Parts: sequence; structure tokens; C-alpha cells
Amino acid sequence: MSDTSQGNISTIQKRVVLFPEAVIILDLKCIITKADKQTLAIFGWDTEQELIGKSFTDFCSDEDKQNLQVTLQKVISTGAITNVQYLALKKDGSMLRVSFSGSLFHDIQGNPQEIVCVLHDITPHLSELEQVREAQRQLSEAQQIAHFGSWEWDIPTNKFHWTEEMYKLFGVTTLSDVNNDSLMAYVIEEDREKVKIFLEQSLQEGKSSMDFRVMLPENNKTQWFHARCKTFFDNDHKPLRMVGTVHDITHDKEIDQVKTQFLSMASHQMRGPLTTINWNAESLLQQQSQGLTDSQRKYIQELYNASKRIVQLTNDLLTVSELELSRMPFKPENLSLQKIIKRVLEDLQHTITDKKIVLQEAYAENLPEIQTDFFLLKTIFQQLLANAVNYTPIGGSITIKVGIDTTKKNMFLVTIADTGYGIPISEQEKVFSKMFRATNAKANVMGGTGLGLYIVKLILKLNGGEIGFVSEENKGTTFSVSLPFVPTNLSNAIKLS
Amino acid sequence: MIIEDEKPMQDAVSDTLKQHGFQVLSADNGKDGLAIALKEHPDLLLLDIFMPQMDGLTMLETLRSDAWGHNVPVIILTNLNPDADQTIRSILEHKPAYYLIKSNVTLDAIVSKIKEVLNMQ
Repeated sequence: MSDTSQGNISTIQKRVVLFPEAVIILDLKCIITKADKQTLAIFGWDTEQELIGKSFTDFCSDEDKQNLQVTLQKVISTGAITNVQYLALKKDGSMLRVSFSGSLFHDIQGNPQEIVCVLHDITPHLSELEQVREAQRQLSEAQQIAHFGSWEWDIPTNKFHWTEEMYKLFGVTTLSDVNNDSLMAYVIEEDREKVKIFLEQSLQEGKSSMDFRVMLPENNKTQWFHARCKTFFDNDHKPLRMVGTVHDITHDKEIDQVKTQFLSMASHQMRGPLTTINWNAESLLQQQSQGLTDSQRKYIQELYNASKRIVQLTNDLLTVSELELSRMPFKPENLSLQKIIKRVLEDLQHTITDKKIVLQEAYAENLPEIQTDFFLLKTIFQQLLANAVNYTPIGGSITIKVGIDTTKKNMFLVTIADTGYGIPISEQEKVFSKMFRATNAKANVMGGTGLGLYIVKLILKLNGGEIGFVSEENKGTTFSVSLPFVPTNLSNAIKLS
Repeated sequence: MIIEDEKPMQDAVSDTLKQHGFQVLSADNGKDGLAIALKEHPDLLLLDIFMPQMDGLTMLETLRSDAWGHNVPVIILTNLNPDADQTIRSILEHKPAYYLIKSNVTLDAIVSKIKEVLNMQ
């Protein structure tokens, strides 16, 4: 270093002009003696004169001033310092992040003469980095607010990446190692099978979703999570990685529960006054001695009918809410399908006779008994047979067949065919949804609740069974119900009983 | 005998039964109902569940510990779903007790049920 000279400095200056670095020369008191064009450009100054004679540290943010002074002292004491970052001040007062390198230059006698500083504007690099950090911060904050975590599983290396919110959702520290097994430990026992199926399905079909419950160790509280995931495969359809989201839906589930409980309570409460209306209307209708006129009787009959329809609606709502709340007791016993169907038909006999409906029943011989819950089984046929009776016009026919489902193992097959209004093709896929009624059903029959088939579907889900139908408008509908000899969804059944 | 706190329902049932030639006793709650029943020994009880002072299930439990009350037929007449309540389910297994959901039965059906139960005795 002792052989450096002014000549060398100008060579350096000439060379660095090619680069975006600024070169500033300071005396040993850190006063600027020279600044190149790049310095002026970077810091927004017009002439070199504006800088000369000023302290170099004047062009530094307050927070970094002290560090810069220390750095410059180090340059003088050690000869060189490279790549120190600090926040520099531009002429207009704005900030600029720069990387500073400084070298001490000596005169011919070998005495320290001046400091040559090279400054590099690193704001562009930094802003890219900061943008990434900013995006990460926004994502992390959004995930936190939404209780929304995301994860990635690199399948060949079995490495997991969880976002911060994932760790928070599961109540574990970000330092802990995570994998499928550690996740499974938090899932409540009844839902573990579901989580396995969720992952397997994604590995096979590319994606899946589910609701599941976890028990958080810190407070023993059960939380409901909704998870979705997607698997990416290589060209040989080998799974490469799986990405997924986990979303805290405990609040939604609670609201849902409160809503259903409210519905259940309201339906119960409505039964009281409805009973009073029913019984008093019935009394009035039977007291012919009091001499009601025909039109008075008709009005009361209408009141009575309407009241009975509300009773039906509240009963259906109650059944739906009990099923949705998983509060419906499931008490399997051995039952005869034939007896139960006959019992339901007895209740409907009045309407069947009134509408002159031809009823045909065929029961296969030596049918085994079915093992299921009495109330639930009866409800299935109540709903299906009431529909058949209600949606078949006067003089139509209903055919009931009960036998063994030959296409399945250990299943009964019950078909109920009517010559009713049928279900329009365009509406057939919605038939099992809650509160749905086909347009022609609404036009022809007053007072249906749109809950019947939804209830049947819920019960079959619980009991393990299937339902399907074929229908043609104005020709009729045939419903086919497959019922297992013994409930197949036993875990459901046990849970509910 | 009918034990029912809601007067309009009590009257409707009681009037109908009288028209069918029954002698009817009434009480507005489980406590009075129990006292009257134990004194008068009616042939059959129609019993509501939700009532002030003493509810129907408590009354039934006390009744069953009495020598006479042990065997008297009871028809529970309520709007509670028997299927939704484990207590009610277990009570129904201890006969002679029957169950009717008010909003789902006609007065006629109540009369038929009473006749059926009394004939079985």
C-alpha cells in the first residue's frame, strides 16, 4: 500500500466510472475532498462543490452515523474495510441503502494521506428482497387473521414445510420438526382414519378435502379444521409433492350448531300451541250437536289441515336437526321390513283410499330380519311412501317390492314405484338437497317441506345404505333403496347411540 | 286422570274423555298430581313431562316406588321426542308406560289408546 499515489487513484477513478459505484475521497478527518460523477448521480447532487469540505458522515442517516464513524476509524487504523451497509442521505432528504468499502492511501513517504471510499447503491437488490419479505409478511399476517395455515410435503425426501400459522393452529413451536405422524398425534382418534383417507385420496386422485377435529394439548380444547390439498406428480405419475391448506372452522361449526339447536328448540316449542289448535279444532269438528253450519265446518277443517301441515314441518325440522347434530339415538334391533312397511301404510291408508290409489305389495319369502334402529327405519319408509302417495294423482298406482339386492352383498332392496307426476330431468340432481321441491311437485301438491328425501339420505348415511331413482315426468318415479342386513357404518352408529 | 299444566290442552282432553263416559280427575303439576293420584287411585294416568313444581318424570319415579303406583298404567303425553331423550327411552322400558307425542296424535287416538291400555289390564 505504501507505493500508492495520486496517479493510482485516478486510474481507479477512471476504471470505476464503468461501474455503478461512487468514489469519494476523504481526508483523514473524514472531510470530502473529491467526489466523482457517479456519486453526484446516486446522491442527487448537481456539482462536486456542494460536497467538498463537508463531513462524509453528514450524508448518513442519524441511526447509522455512529457506526459509520467507527467504520471510518477502522479504515484508518486497519487500512481497509469492505462491504459495510448503511443508510445514506440523498440531497432531497430521502434514504438510500449503500454498501461501503474504504481503503487508506499513503503518500510517497508512507504516511496515511486519504481515504478512498467506494459506495454501491444496493437499494434495487434490497427492494427485491424486501418485496419478497413484504409478500411473506402479508401472507403470514393474512393467514394469521384468517386462521389459515398452509403446508407443503416434499414426498421423495419426506420433508415438510409449515407456515407460521400452521404451527400456531396446532399449538406447537416453530422449532419442532413436523411430519404426518406428528400431525396425526393432534387429530382426535375418531377422525384419524378420515385424515388417512384424505391423504391417500390426494395421492391417488390429485386432490381432496375434509373437515376434521384436533385436540390442542395446551388447553385440551377440540378445534374443527377444514383441510384441502393438491398433489403434483412427475411424468410417470409418481407423486412429487403435496401442498395443502388448513383452516380453522371451529367458529363456523359452533354457529352451525347453535343454529341447529335453535331450530330444534323452536320446533319443540311450536308443538305446544299447535297441539292446542289441533285438539280444539278436532273437538269442534266432532261436536255436531252444537250445530255448525257446513261452511263453518269447512273453515275449521281448513284450519285443522293447515295446523297438521305445520306439525309435519316441525317434525321434519326436528328430525333434520337431531340428525345433523348427531343427537339421534341409534339403537339397533332386529326388525321385519314387511311389518314396518305395513305399519307405515296403515297411517297412510286414509289418503290411499281417498285418492283411489291401487296399492300392490310384493314381499320376497323367507327374508331375514333387518338389524337397525326402529325409528330411523320407519322414518325412511314414512318419507318415501308419503311422497309416493302425495305425488300420485287420483286413481294412480303404487307398487312396493321388498327382496334381496342381488347386485350387492348382504343387502335388502326395496323399490317403491308410483305413477305420479315424476321429477323433471333438469331437477333430478337436486332431489336430495335440503328444502328442495321440484317445480311440478310445488304446482300439484301443497305443503310439502322439501325435507323428506334429505332426511332419508341422512339416515342412509348413518345406517349405511344407498338410494337411487328413475323418473319420467307425468309417468312416475321408482325409488330403490338398498339397506344392509346390519348397519355398516357401525362407528357412526356407536358414536350416536 | 290427566296431569297437564296447560289448561287448554287439559280441558280438550278432559272434555273428550268425559264425552266418552270416563270420570276424569285433573292436576296442573306433578306435585298436586302425585298427591291426588296416591289418594284417589285412578285407573290410568295421562302425564305431561314439562310442568312447574314437579316434572312428569320425577312424579313417575316417585309414583313407581308406591305399592299401588308401581303398577298403574301411565301414558306419557308430551311434545318431547322420546327418541331424542335417553331418560325417556329408559322409562319406556319399564312398563306399564306408554308414550304419545301430543302434536302427532288426535284426541280420538288418545281415547283409543286409553281403551286399549285399560283392556289389557
